[in-house]
Amino acid sequence: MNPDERTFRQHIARGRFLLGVDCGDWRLVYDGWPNPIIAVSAATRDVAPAEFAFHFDLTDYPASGPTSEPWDIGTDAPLAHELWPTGTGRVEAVFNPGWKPNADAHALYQPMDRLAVAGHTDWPAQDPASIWDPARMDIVDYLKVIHDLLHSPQFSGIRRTP
Amino acid sequence: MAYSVNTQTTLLLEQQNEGVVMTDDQANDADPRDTIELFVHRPTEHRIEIREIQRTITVAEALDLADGERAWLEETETEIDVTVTVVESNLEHRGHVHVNRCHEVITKVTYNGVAKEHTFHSATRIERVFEWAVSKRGFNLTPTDATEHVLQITGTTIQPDVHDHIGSFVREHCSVSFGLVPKIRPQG
Repeated sequence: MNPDERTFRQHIARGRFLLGVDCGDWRLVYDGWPNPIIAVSAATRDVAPAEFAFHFDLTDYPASGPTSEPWDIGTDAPLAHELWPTGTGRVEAVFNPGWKPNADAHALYQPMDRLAVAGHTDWPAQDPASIWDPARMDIVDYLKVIHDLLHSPQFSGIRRTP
Repeated sequence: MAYSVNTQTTLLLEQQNEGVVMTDDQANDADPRDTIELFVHRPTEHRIEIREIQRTITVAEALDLADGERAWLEETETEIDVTVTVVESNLEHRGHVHVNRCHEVITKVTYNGVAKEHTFHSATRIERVFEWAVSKRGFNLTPTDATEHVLQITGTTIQPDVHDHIGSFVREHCSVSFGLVPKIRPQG
């Protein structure tokens, strides 16, 4: 086990992560390194699942922050765009399947995401509290952002219209 | 693909985590009926730890209480008798306990240049502090505006978890200052 993986496993064994599990905020679906899958609960909406799964890339964790994309657990593949969470305001901005940081991957359009922040040199000044800081952050900080968005009044469900 | 979580690995790493009192050998031998896990909140770097503790030791031993520290149940002012054993204390598995020298925390929240104060019990969750701050007793934000703001420790970029306890943020004095700051929509 390399030091990055060891650190991740220590973080998910901490009270902070386990408290979120106990509260039903998130659950570890798959702990493979460096691509664990973690499902985050969502507020009840007419057309939406009770949780969304996210496929992480934790390469160089925690020196580099996490990146993730919505994932289909059943097919073990990226989630179809029509099934991504959506809404207004920050929810619409962060869960944007039309945006890709590079040709190979999707990511969440938010400052704590490693791939997203790489192309936005102004974000550290705009929102310093959301910039990944390995000295004081762990995977829970990233999960908190997702959980907050999926429980926001701005979250309306999935992109596919009924 | 069949997903799995390596629970044995997780257990072993959990034991290595600071604040967890069991050793590897103890974990292998332990009868789960003789232990419970507690979420322990206190003003330390990580603010919360999960401890697996023997039910036959005293609460003071289980919590490693230092001089002057007391313990309360989460969201209550019910002080725990730390002289009795864990089993006698009726502490519940995966229950939440707050350890602190401060019984109460003078809490100041600043919003748009205006500051308001309220005193909370140390074992109060940040969620309750936020609810007070956006309520009519605080800054009277609309429900929509409230969801677009968050508490942030003054002079830092630390935004506490809703499950954190207010007492976990005290340092030399029994007081904490927050800003009520907007959540930023990423742009650019």
